[in-house]
Amino acid sequence: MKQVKTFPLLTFWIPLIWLLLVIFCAITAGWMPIPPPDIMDYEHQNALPGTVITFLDQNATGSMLNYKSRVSWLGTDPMGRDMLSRIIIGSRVSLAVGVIAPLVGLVIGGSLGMIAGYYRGFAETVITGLMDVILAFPSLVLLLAVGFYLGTNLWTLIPSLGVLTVPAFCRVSRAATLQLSNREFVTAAKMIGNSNTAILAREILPNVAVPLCVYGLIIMALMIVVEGVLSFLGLSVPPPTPSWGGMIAAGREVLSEAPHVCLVPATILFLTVLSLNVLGDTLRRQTS
Amino acid sequence: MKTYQSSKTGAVLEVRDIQVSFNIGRKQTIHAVSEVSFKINREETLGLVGESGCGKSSLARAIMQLPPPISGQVFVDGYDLSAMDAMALRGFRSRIQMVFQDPASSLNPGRRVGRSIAEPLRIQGVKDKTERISRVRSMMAAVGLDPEQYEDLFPSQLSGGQCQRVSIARALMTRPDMLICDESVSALDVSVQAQILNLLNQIKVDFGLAMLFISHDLAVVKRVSDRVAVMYKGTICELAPVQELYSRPTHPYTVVLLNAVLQPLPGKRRLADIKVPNRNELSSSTASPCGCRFHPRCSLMKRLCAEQAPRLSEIENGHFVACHFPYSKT
Repeated sequence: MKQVKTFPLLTFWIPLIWLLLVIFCAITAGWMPIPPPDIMDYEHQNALPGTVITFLDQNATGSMLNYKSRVSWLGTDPMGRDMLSRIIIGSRVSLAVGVIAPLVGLVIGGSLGMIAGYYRGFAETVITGLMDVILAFPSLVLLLAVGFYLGTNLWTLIPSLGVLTVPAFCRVSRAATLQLSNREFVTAAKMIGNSNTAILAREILPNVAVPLCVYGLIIMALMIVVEGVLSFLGLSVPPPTPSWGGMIAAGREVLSEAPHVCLVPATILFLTVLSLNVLGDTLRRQTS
Repeated sequence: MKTYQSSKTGAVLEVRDIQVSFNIGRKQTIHAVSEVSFKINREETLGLVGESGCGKSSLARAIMQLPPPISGQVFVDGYDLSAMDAMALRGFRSRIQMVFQDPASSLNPGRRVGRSIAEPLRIQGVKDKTERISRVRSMMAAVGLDPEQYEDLFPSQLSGGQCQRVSIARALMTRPDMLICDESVSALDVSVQAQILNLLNQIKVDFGLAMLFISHDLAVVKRVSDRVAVMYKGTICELAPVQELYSRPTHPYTVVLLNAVLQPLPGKRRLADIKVPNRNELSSSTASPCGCRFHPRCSLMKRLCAEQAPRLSEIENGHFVACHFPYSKT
């Protein structure tokens, strides 16, 4: 009998709602009533949350300089820029890396793993060997090299991070495929005249996809942390584009006098990563 | 691609000197099946019994060419499967269908059972959706499943017996000539076993099938088979019509096997009144013993048995035995 699936509030709904909120903010950032993320108010540097800041309205027409004032709900950073708007705009970088890089790994690693697990033999030897090579390669060196030769921006970062996640997905998908290939319904599919490609696509893939996507959530969390670490090291998007890791790095210098500059983006990053991990764990338990 | 016409006469399946062995590394080989030959006719069931690990399932897989046997030939309707290339085999394979042991594992867990049964139609290229649905429904009715009730369920929502019915329906969808049942009822309750066996007997007649029924359960084999083959360590040691084999077994191993079955009435005379003490000397299956494969466990063993392997020979009409000193009750 099918087991009853439960979706607990704490380990399913709260993380889900938080993630949806982050995604919603990232998408609608352009229409939100927030100050631009790169406008500086020199009179309010490292301001505490709730301070009223003033800034130049870039949309104003005419010769008159038009100043606007807003409440800065999360304070300002060392350059007097509004942290809330920087966090919201910065979520785009985190989400782009967090979503696209695992997707690259999922598609490439997932299919390679299926091929290795289904055909076995020579294909499996080559693919697992290739994965071992990627795993043995020092990832930071690869990222530094790519950053040095191709420049540090989102579109060099995402593919290189994606390649680094391929072995993890490959292993998960190979293990699941090995198990499925020995099940009788795969033999039955062969007996009714399916080709190997059809069996991979119609019998194996639908059953591998669920564990792979659930695992993808956990890799997503990892990628967001890695992006944070890389911005901290200056290997991610260059300033002034805001990113969560970059904001934490900027706050480090004023940690003693204005800890909120560092703690606010760190908390947001922490909550997002925690939500992804908790949600991934819950779904994995439900599907296995 | 060459088209293969089904000839309605002669044996549906003929297996000739099939040999299956597996490489298990370190230059060791398991001889799972060696020199097995038999025929099965239309509307006939051949029961295949033997202890676990004797090569029953390897034989079934070799017949389907999954993987192909090391040597020997498999003829279906006179066509040699072992000589076909991969493409031809893929098309031809659907003439042999199989019902497996584990009911839950036989069906794709993510597919509604109605769609699983329709899969063979998709491969045959039946595009018309209404035709597909009507054929699935009539097949479900033929195997005793109410289409309205079960069509849209997932395998996890069905009982073991119902899953086996779905597997049988899917197998019959390809209009096969031959059905291999590999321990198909072993995982089911006794009452459900009887229902499935009745269904198998029914479809054998309705669809004109040749059946190979593999089981370790002698009572089950007796119920469905026309002829029975007893397998021991990869070879057939006795092959006879069902009544003949159960009433007058001649190979010592068959006698041991039949004596091991518990009798419904205690004290009732055993099927054969000789005692063949089972010395339980299990030799490894990697080393092929010289002489008769059963001689290390046989109490009637003589010197010849250890030296020369007996060949399967006909001692009476339709009764084959591979033993130098076949036991006879008279």
